Amino acid sequence: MEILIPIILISLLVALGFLAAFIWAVRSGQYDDAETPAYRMLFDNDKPAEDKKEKLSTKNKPGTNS
Amino acid sequence: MEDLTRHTEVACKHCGDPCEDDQVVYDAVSFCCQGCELVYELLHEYGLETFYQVGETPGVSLKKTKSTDWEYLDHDNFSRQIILYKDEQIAKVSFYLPTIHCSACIWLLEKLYRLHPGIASSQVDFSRKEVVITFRHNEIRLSELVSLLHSIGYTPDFQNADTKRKPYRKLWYQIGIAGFCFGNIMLFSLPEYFGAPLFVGEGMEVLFPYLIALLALPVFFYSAQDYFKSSWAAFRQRTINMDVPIAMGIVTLLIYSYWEIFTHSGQGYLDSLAALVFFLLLGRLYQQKTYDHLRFDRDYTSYFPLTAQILTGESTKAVALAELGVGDIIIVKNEEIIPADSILLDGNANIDYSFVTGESDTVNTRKGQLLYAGGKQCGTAIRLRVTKKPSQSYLTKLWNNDAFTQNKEEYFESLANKISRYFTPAIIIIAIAAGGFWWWAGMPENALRAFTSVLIIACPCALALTSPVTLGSAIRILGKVRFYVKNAGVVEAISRADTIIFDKTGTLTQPNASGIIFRGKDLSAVENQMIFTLLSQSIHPLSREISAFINARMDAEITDYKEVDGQGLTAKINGIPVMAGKSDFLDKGPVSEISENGSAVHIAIGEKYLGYFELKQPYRANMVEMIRSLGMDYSTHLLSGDNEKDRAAFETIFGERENLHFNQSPEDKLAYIGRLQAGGHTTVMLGDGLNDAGALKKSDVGIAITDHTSFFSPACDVIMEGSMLAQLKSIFEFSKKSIRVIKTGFFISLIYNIVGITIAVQALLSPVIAAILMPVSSFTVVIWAVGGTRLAAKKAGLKHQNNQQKSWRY
Repeated sequence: MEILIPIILISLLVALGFLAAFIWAVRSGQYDDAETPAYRMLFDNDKPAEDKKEKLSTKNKPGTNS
Repeated sequence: MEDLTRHTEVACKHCGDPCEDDQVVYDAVSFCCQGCELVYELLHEYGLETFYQVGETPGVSLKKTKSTDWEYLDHDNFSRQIILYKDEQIAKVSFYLPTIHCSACIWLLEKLYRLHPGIASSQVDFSRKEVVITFRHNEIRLSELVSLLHSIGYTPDFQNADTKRKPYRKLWYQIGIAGFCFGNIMLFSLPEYFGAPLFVGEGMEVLFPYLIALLALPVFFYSAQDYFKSSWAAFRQRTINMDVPIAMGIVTLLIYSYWEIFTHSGQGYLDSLAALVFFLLLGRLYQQKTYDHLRFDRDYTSYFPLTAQILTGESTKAVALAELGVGDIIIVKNEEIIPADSILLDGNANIDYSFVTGESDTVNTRKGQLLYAGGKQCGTAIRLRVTKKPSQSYLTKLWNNDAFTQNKEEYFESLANKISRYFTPAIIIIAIAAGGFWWWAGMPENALRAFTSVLIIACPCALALTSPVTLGSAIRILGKVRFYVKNAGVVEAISRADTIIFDKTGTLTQPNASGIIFRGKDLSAVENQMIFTLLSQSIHPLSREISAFINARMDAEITDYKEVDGQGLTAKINGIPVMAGKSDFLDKGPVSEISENGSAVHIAIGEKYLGYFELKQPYRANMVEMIRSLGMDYSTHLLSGDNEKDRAAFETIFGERENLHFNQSPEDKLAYIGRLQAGGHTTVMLGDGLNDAGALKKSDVGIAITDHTSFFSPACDVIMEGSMLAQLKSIFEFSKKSIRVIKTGFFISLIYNIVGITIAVQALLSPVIAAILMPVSSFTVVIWAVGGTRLAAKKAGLKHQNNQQKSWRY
């Protein structure tokens, strides 16, 4: 049963990884506005081709705004 | 009468307003005004017509927007204040756009880059009504960007912007860390819960306690730190608030658990500690999430314009208000606000002071007379000479009053704090008594155990959760009836109120709504002219309103003019007798059934009765019933800046003559509230204008009435939509019931505490009991708080106003 000790330590590390992911998510602004994305996801994408290039260059990453 | 029904309702494709006679048709689609049509055309041109599929009539009406000069924005002084980030190529700016109201707004605003190549991207925050725009400042100037937004109906509001505000990220970090530690501590406590025979001798019983001790540290030092800060502040002021017993419990839990772990006598109660902090923080988040798009702390500067147009020689120049000096010549155009006390040089000044003084009629001022800051010009442009700087104007002096520097929360003690003032000493006494008993009985190890376990089990987890969860839930329910509360303390203050004070203009009456209808035979043009001529002789307010309504001038000879006070007018116009007034005065017309909040002026020309003008004083819907029913339980008062013309009407509604006060200056209102408070009353003031700002601030609860939450409202505790005023009584009822829910919740957690303490004083508390009792009591209380407020809302008769598609709009 000694094997349990390293396994438990590993499980703690995995959990720490999730905590880090959560902190990253808050820091990058994903928790700042919980309402707008709910509407945004309902919009259809633009028709392709005509402004694809523009979209690529202007895609706004969350969290770059502070 | 037919006039009312003749229009077939055609809604504007863009904004949904009804299209009146001057509708614009383009592409076989109707628009209410040129502005809406232009936006439609623009969106089509850039292939953005999906806008009209995302939402139904999603646009913003452009009828009321005026052309503005945004040049001053390019000035470094100003742009520095609003630009978030700038480098060689791009700049990032955040705007507060009060007209954002639906999902199509988000769609359109995030497609801005299609309208101008200089705009790189834009991102909307819907709940805060803000947009962050990234643009290449070499290609589009800030002023061009703003006028683009303005042209599609989203005019940035710079006065009320608060774009630098930080969201509550820290609370999220604290919750995340507490949750992580809570879960893992529970996991490592499992052997302890089951008596741990399974793992004995495997090394786990050595490792786990130390892991737990380690995991408790971030909870104690990071997640719980606000409770220590708050109770330390309370301790320094020699008071006890709700955070004191919490902090006390947390410290005892940590010290006792560490002592157990490092003396190898047990594992302590660190799982309870982490759970406690985690649930408390969740309760705090629930309560803290309030109305991001509302501004509760506005003062006069957010009502005033940002800049003034100064005339130098022949040209005009925009300057910031702070730079406006005595002696400057300024130009004020139609619908603009006078920025400083000044003298009229020329132009036809017709000033609407209703927002400043409560006076409902516009004031016509002659050349050389003084105009006060805050008045709105209605008419053509006027030229003024500034006599006082904006900050020293008659109106702005009100803000020097003490009421504006005091912090209301300081002298308001919440129910939870009051209870913990008795609760905390009681717990300490019980703990010492239990400890003392075992010590005296000769069992010192039991003494310590009893002492600490009383402190631990009584740690008011449930008690501390009751109040934030109940109030947080109450705030949400009130928000649904468009009654937006600034913080939880306001609900408690409302529940204790016994006196309600109303402002008249804009609060009980509807602003900008005139309801004059002529009932009777159709009037010919000549008859209209004769009535106008007669009424324009009188200065009686009714005559003035009707003559403004008819507005048909003629040259006529007026003889035998006679005005009988409170009865009517009579005169011969071109020899024909014309009469206007009460029906007894005419002694001809039928006794008409006029509702109590309207008045009628009957007309007879040449001895023949024609009919009557019905003047619906534009009271808000159900105002009369609302005040009468409130009057049964509360003492109701009226403070109006207007003159006494409506006294008689309001006396029948309010009943008591001495509670009605007219011609009140802003200072009078403030002082009146102060006198009521000195008499031991808890006051609720309802007002809308700048003239109520002092009274709203001074009153225990200040409710600002507004017809649209994005319009200016003075500093207050509650922002309420005018259309919901009829529900005021239900809202007050609900607040009282919510406080009763809290009290019952306290009682429930008290029972848990008594059970727990009974076990604890016998030194029998085991970790399992603690681990079960604490979460169960918390959950019961949370369920009670949320369910109880819902039930209270139903009982108080709160009705949500769901007018179909508008229900989800702000």
